[in-house]
Amino acid sequence: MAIDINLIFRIAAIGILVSILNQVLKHSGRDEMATMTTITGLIIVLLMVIQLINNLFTTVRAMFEIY
Amino acid sequence: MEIFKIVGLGITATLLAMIVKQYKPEYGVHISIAAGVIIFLLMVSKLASILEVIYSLTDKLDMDAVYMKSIFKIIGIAYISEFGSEVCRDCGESSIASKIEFAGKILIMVLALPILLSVLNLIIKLMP
Amino acid sequence: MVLKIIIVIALLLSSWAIGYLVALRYSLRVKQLGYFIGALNSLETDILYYSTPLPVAMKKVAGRSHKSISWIFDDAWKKLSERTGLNIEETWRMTIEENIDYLSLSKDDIEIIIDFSKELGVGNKETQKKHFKYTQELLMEQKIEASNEKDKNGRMFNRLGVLLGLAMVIILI
Repeated sequence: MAIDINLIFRIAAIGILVSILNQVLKHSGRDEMATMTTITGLIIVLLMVIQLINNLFTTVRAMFEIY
Repeated sequence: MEIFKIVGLGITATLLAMIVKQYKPEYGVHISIAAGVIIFLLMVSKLASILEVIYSLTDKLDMDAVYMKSIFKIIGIAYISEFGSEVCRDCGESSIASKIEFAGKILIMVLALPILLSVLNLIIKLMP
Repeated sequence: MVLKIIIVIALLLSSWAIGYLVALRYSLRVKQLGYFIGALNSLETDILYYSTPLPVAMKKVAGRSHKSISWIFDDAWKKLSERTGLNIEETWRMTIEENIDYLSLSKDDIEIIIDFSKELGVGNKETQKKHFKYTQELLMEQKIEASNEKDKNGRMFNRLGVLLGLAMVIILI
């Protein structure tokens, strides 16, 4: 996934979508599936952010130490 | 002008984070982390050229490159530890944040020790 | 760029369609149960009040009921007229089991319908009347339950379909 502003929009969109899904599922009584979707959304977003942080650390390491 | 891009990105991310925090506070933190990292990565190339200029200056001044390297390493450690502690404080875990800062201080001390020692040596040599 | 937009639209449409189809099954079950109860009514009138023989009664009911279930009676009538020597219950069961894919009814509903044929044509008019009424009551209960399920699940699957498609699009753009 490219490093640019689209990433932030994607994370926000996933967050809003997960909350809508949560409401729909809770409304029809499927609470376990609602919790599952929340956790799945969190994992997906976490993976995206960890990729970013990895990039950050590699860049900082390259800039401040090898130089 | 890069500054417009950066400010635009920051404001958009803040607004989005505010909206998302109302429904799922966990996601708001992710957005702020992502925004911070992206802004830094956008500035990285400029930072690299600044560092190069400083290095060429030190070459001209005929100073030992080791000292400059240590100073930059210290700056790097300071930046990363501040980033981590700010993220923790944003989530409300100020105790973890202070521990991270403490660790950063220790590591900086470790790096700075050789320089301190060489300065002390110099002073001892100069003393009659 | 244009290809991406086409893929996104295709994904969204297909996921919405899947959600809609699942929700449709629930609403079809309710409708078909209703049609069946009506057809049973028709059959009861023909057999008990006009004393029409069974195959002719079935043919009449096939002509009067909704096309989603009329084929049951049509098929049964055709099989009965062929005089293959099978009794009513087996003919009925064969008809239903051969074409079970065309029905959106649940297993319980199908069992009730098959059980109905076991008592068809047995006993005098009074027992037949009671039997018809009993089957209709059972089917009515199933219809109420199916209606509840449809209210609960129908809209949910509709929305789920669209939302999950949207999620895929966002993650994979």
